[in-house]
Amino acid sequence: MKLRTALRIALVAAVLAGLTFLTFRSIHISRDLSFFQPGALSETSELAVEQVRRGPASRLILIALEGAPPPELAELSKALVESLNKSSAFLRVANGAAELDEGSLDFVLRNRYLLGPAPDPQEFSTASLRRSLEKALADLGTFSGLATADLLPRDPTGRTLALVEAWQGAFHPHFRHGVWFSRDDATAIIVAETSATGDDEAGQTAAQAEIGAAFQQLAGRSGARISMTGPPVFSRSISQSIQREAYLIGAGSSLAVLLLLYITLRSPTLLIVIAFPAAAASIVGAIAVQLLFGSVHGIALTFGMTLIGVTSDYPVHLIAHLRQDRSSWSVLRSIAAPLLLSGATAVVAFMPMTLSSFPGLAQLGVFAVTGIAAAMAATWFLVPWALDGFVPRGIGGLPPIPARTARWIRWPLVAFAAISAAWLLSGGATLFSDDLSRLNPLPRDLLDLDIRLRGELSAPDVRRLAAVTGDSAQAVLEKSERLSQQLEQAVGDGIIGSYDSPSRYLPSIAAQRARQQALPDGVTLLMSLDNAREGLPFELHTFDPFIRDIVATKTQQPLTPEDLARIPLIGDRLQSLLSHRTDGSWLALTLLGAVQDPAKIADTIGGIGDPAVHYLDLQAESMQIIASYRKEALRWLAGGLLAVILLLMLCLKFRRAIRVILSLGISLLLTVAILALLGTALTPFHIAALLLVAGIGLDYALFMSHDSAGDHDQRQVMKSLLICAATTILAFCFMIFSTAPILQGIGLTVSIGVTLSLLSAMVVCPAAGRT
Amino acid sequence: MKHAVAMAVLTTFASGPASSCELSEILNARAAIAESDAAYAEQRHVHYVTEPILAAGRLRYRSPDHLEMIVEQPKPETFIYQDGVLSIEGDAAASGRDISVESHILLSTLFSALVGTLSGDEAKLRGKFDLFFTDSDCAWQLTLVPKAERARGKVDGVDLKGTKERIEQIVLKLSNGDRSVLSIRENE
Repeated sequence: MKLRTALRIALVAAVLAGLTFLTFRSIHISRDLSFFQPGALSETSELAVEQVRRGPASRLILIALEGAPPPELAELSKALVESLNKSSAFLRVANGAAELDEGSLDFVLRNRYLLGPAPDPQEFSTASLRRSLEKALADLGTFSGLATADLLPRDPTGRTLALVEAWQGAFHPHFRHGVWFSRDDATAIIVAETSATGDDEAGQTAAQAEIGAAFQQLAGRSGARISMTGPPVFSRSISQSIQREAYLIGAGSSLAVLLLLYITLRSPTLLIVIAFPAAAASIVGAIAVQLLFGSVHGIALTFGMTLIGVTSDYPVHLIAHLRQDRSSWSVLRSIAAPLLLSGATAVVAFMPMTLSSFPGLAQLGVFAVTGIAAAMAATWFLVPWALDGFVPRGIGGLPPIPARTARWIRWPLVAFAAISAAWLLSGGATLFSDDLSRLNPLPRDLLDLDIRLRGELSAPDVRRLAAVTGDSAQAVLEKSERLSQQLEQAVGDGIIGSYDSPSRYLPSIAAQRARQQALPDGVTLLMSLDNAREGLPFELHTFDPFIRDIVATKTQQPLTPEDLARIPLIGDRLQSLLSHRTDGSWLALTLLGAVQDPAKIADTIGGIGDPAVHYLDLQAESMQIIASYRKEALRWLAGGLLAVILLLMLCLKFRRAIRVILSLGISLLLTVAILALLGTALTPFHIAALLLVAGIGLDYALFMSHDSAGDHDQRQVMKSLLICAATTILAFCFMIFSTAPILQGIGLTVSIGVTLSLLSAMVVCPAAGRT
Repeated sequence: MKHAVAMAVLTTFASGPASSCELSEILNARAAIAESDAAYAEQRHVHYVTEPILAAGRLRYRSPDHLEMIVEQPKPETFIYQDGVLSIEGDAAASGRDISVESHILLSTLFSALVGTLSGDEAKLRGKFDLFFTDSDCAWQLTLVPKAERARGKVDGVDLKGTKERIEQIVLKLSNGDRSVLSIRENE
């Protein structure tokens, strides 16, 4: 190799490496579910998305402590909760141990008739008071009465403890040594709600690290183990495992591809040059998206990189034709037509997508269009320039498939494709899956732990909830109260098991005023109490504090959300159910537990007929969003495909255009049919992989059908296509063994698709000169 | 104040001439007992109730730090104290969960005083309480005053009375003047 050539290649490689580094350092990569969302969502969908990303469920971590005797685990649980509750990383950390300190208990005691569920209107009648006093006397004899004896003169009806009970009792876990335990007493359970929202990756990572560190410090050598589950843990686990596997698979397949290329091309220099167009594509694609959209979505980047994988075939075509007696520029001229058409069709196919109202799709379109154009430019200008004067060691060609064999394969292939088309169109197979949760590559044991802990805690179903929006906290609280009346009825009818609404903690000011009105005045209460006390061994003025409390409550200022902010057990609970949104509006959530009849509860909530009251089924809602994404994507792609067909018809002779289109159609149809036979429904990830297959299939068909070349060139085309196909299959087949269904799906689709694309290009599109 | 005087008197007694039953001897004798079972009868005096409230049940102890208090009357309730952790079971109002931090302090002070004495672990007792001991002819009284300020806000002290290694009476004295007197009959 001449020094000048070596210098040129080194220069281009260094510039591209530097630019790649600079680009990926300076672009802003966003990582949330917004990729799949349309630009404008319905209010209900928007609420659902907000809940999935930032709602209380997205912040809930379940912690399991195991591996030590129960008393030790209980102590550890208490120490861990105490330690974590001091951290600002958590809104609340609970293990069932009494959560109210003395100050907070006093607050609840003072405000007990304004807080919580509505009191029984009969509570202050003589008969009811008599029952309360008799019960209190009996309780005093018990041992725990020792602890509550102080409270009795102020609260003989026991409302304070009943309130605490009601607030704690949204679910009924098993207790051991005063903290939550699994029913087999082997696992101490803690629930932590992080301050960071679910989509705050850094905040979630820090919070989970803090739990781990606090545990390590406390557990010492006790032998106790900690495990965590919950949505924040899941999303971290998913991104970590995908990253780890993608890295391993990437390293493995890169090595295999390099080895294969080295064996076939016998030149390390060529290996570097082959990477030029793909590198240029990713740099230009990423910069274009960053400039147009302000950031690059992580999924757009991954999908985009997959799509531009086709561009690494471009230099292979050129290199395979290099000869001692033929400069790189002359080779370029000889393959210019199919190369340009291959690039142009790919650009045209993605062009419509850039206009999509889905920002994710538009990003993908821009990435593909600009990236492929850049790769084309790099193949056109950079590669021949760098290889000018490079003399390959002689790459032998391969004979094309004999025409007879091609015919033998062609007709069965066409027949299979026709049958597949009929089968797929008849609805015989489930074609699409919009349930991305099925793609969760969660380790089985993590999922099992989550199911087990949720079962133990009888934690509310976080999938279905009601959301109320309004201009003020009071407006949403009042509507939540009306909703609660309907839900109370639904609980009675067995439609749902339970519900948790903000008004269970803090009633609206209107409701508080009504309660104040309903409280008896001091004299009436004194008379009722005196009658109720008759014959019972209580001292005369025992219940004076009770009367003073009621009189004070009647005239006090109603409570607002701010008053509750600092009170544990209710303040933090209220904070997660009642929030002031960034647009200034208020949002009240009502969680629905043990939903027995989803359709009926949806009707009940819908039946209220208030546009501000929404029923959210987070899973259904997210599936609907994905489905709308998929439909939109397919629509734009159909447009793209039409444009490609038009372009082919314009640029190619009719027969050749038909063959190219036929070859592409066969390979895509058979790929989808095989995936369906394997029981794989197409997610957006599979569709992205199919796009790559389409790009590659077009490329193969165009080069195979390129008929202006001589016999030598035919052999070179054959060889270059085999090299392209082998490297692509090698690169993607490693993914089939991934535990992450996303990677597995892409790997399977591309491996099958590229194999079929090569086969159908070889038998459907042989160059006219040869047939 | 009255307690301080009483304590001063008791301390004087305790540091007086060597008696026939030292605290350490009694505690050592207790430490040798691996398991015990006793019936108890309780009289509770609540300052706003004109009559004493009566209760009865069983106490079960297993060395070194497991104590069950099984209340039979007036309402069944079980308290299990182990390794410094108290849990409440049974069908009373507080069953399955803790009532409040305050209740914790009061009950766990009582239980740690009991278990500390039953197990004969003097160091553990001295960790949580100030100890005042008197005896005459091996009829002794041990008064435990909690060291922690929060516990002292609820509990003035726990008096244990007995003969030799036997515990015969436990008196829980609360800061609000309420008292609970448990008479104990240990099974042989």
